[in-house]
Amino acid sequence: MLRIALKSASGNVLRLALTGLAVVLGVAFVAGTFVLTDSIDAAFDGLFEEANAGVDVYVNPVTAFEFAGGGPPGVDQSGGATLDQALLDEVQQVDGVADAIGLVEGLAPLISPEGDRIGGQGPPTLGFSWAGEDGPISLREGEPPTGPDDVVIDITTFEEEGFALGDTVTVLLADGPQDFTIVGASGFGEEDSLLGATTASFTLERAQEIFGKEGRFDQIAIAAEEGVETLDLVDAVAAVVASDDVEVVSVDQQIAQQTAELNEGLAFLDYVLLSFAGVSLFVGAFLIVNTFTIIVAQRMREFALLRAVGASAGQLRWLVMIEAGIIGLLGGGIGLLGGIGLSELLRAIFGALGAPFPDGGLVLEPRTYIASFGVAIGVTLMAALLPALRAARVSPVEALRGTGAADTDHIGAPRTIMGALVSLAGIAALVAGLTLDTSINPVALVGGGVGGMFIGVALLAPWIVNPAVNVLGAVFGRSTEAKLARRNAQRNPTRTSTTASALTIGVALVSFITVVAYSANASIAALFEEQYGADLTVSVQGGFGTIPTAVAGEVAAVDGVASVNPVRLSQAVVPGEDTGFGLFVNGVDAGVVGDHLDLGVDESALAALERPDTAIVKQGVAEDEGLEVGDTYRLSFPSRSDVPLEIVGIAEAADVLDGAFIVDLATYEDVVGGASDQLVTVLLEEGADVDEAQAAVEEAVSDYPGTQVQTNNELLESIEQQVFTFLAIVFGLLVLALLIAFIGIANTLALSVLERTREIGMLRAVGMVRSQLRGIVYREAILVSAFGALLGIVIGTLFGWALVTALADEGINVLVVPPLNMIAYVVVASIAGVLAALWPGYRAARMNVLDAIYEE
Amino acid sequence: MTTPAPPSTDLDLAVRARDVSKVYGDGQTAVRALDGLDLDIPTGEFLAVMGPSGSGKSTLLHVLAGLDSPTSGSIAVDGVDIGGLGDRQLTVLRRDRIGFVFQAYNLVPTLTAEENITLPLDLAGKDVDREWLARLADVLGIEDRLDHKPSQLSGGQQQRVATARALVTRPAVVFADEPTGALDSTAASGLLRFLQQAAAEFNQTIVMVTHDPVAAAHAERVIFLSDGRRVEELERPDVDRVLEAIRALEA
Repeated sequence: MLRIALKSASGNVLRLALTGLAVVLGVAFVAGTFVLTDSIDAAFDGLFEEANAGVDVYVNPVTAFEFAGGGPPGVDQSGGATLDQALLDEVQQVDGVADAIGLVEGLAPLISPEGDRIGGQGPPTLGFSWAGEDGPISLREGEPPTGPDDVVIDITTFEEEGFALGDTVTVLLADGPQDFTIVGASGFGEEDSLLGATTASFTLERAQEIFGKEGRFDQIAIAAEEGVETLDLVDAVAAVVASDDVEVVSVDQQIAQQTAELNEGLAFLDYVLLSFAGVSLFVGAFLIVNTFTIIVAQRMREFALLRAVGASAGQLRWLVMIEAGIIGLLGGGIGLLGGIGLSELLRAIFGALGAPFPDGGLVLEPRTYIASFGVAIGVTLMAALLPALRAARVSPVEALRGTGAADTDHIGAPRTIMGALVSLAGIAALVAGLTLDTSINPVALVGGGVGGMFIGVALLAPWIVNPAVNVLGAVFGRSTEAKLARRNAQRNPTRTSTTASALTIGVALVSFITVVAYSANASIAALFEEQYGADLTVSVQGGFGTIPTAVAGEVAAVDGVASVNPVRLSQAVVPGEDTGFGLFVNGVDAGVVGDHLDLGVDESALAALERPDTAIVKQGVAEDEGLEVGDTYRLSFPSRSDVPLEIVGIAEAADVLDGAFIVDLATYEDVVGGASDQLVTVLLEEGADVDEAQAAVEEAVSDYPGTQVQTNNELLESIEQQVFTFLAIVFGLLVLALLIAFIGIANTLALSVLERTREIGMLRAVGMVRSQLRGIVYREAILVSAFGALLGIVIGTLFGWALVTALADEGINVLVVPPLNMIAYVVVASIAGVLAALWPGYRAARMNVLDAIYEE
Repeated sequence: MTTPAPPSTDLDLAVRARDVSKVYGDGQTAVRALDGLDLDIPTGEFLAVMGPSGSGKSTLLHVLAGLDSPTSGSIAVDGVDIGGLGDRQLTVLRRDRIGFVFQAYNLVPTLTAEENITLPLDLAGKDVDREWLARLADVLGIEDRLDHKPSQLSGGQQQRVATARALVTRPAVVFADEPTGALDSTAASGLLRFLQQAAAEFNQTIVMVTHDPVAAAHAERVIFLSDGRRVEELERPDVDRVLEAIRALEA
């Protein structure tokens, strides 16, 4: 049986290659994710090891708080717990310590000679105290900083901006821009760049001063004496300095921690890649089911013959399963190679975008092989199971009957019942995931629900193929070609709907995200209309990064400005709970915020907010946590852990703020200590001209490059722009789904053309010209594609509606279904359908008429 | 796109073949399916072509109908020399001037009987002569089957629908390739009587390839092929004379 399967597989290389391509794509995304993640891990491990060379032990301040990365842009990361400088002396006295040094860091954006802020569009702008040659920053050119005006900048910026040693560079510090002299250029270990970050290194004293950490350290690095075990030294140092606020860790622990933080930051990439993999494999499975179903139908006579000469039903099952296994094996192998290519491609893209990953070889962990082949073979075998069972059910007598044309508009009752049940289960899971507070992971519920609904719809879709094709086909008029194309699409509704299902799923996902994005935009616009009282907004260009706190003061002094309200944003965690990066706190000026933003609280709440350790909580959070005015809620912040916040108000509005809690600036500075603003809202005096005021404020902040001043209309536009940027990822999904659907349509049509050989020969004999024949194939492809796309739009819009309904509490409460996008999706899908039909159409038109008529 | 018909000298000939040869393969393995054949078929004649398997009778039908091209020689259908026509012109010629009836699987399964009959006209974008269609359906006894799909028709009914399709364009010539081969004897004789009637009443030229002496006996003239050459010819044949001729050829 294996030999027959191998022969059968090798005889249909093209057909199997097309089928396998969907598997290859899915596996490539899985493998690419793992290869990229593992390679980056290994590269950063090496980089961190190198950067920490010469250090054996670190002393860190203990904080309940770790910056997790992610979250909305403009999170203030300048704050944090610090160490008393006096600890350094104590550490140096410990036996076994060869040397110890205090380190300080902060944010230090650089200004280019042209007056632009360098970087700041994502990669961080880091400032360090110079830690000597053994520190993470390695000198490439010039000298280390020795005087208060000296700075060493990273070699990438140094070279790209054309700086020379001795040049002056402006650094944008919290209390305003300051000039420094470039005395050296540095790398990060052996790398020229750390993910595109800019760095500026100052003397320790100067760094302490400019980062507001006089007499404090962020960290103490210790080198052990020759022959001293690291872990022994950790214990020895800990015995002297460790406390509730101070911890001592080995360099390996420190590296592990740095790597873990990095991975959290890069997790989004895994999510994107793995969701692409999921879509490819899910859609690919439909494609494989369809191809095998058609192939099995066409080979029924062959199977019957095998049965007649003594093959058992079990052997026939094996025959089909082995063929599927071969596809899975090949798909897994090629997909693995594709994944390696994909990870290299992504690396190149990140490099080109200015955030290069450190160099390092490709890392192929065992899990990559296991996942690639496991997924490929698993998906293929599962998809081939039903066709295999069908092949085994053939009776030997069928070998003697006529052709095995698979025209049937019969839709089985088990299929219908199954489809209805799976759809209902999917809907139930979706509703539960979106609304109920269950112990089951809501993401799993929603994902399972969506998957279930897709399968259910795919099972039920044959019922609507014929009416839908009648309606859609009306576009083509009443010509004979149109009629034949319509009827061909209706010959086997199950085949048509399964072929279309790849598009249905892809277009459903795309329409879903389109609906959510447009609804979010419309909701945000409505929120601004209702809740934004300010006239101008000062923020960082591009939306990433923060602005120095000094900016607010400059703006307040401008003529025509009534008041300014700095808005700060920090992360916070509930003590003892791992909340990921979900919890944020805003700092605002309680004295004026009421005029700038409608928080939906009483005047008295705002007055109370001026007392220390008080907070206003957003209504949704208050309901979830059962908070009422007067309650105390404990949160840990970068600078203070376990802060008891008295709830003084419940904000019914305040949706324009990112935080769950809102505190006054004084409280914020106490618990976060930050020195940068997410944005500054500006209220103008009565009757002031907005455009004139905007120009005046722009003039006032001209010393702070990278700072922008926007009117409310401009601000709204830039927020909408961010939403549309997100849509770009969605178009990646559309392209992927189109590609797989393209393969599926081409495959099915090619097999259908083969099946209709004699009919095509007869049509040609009685006078159908080639272009008419091709026209029929193209029209059938368009009907299948448009059917799939329209069904997808209906499902996607329903999903979008469900999510928007579920998110009504989160401020997304307007449902927008943009008709032009939806039409565009159908048109694009139809064009892809025609492209897929080119080859089958060509094949049909080129058939030799005589051979076709007399085909057995 | 139509090609102007070259001036014809034999306006009363539906088909005119001169020195037609068809060779498959080359060198040692070459097979001469047709060997310098001349044939004139006057308009309105019902001609049967007989011969043993491999005699070239099917090949003759295919080259006369423009489904296959001869290796040498010239063929004119309805006064048009088909030797110089491209695929599209040949296809249009088949659509407008030629009708076909095949042995089996003659109809498009997704079209109704009526849609199958009018297919060549629909493909050409021409109007259907409803009177002619009704007459054909009536004579063929399928007027109450026109809305049925082929799968709902018997073999004989399907073949009558195919015959109606062949005649609906009033073609210069109808080619029938073993039209009764898949039919039972009742259905077969019904169809043959109709072909006779079409030739007699509608002046329809018909060329029928068959190996059945009974079928051949319905024709006005029978030619016998052997090794690609015409070896015998009978005018006004009956079954006995056809059988006699076959026996003589086999001897």
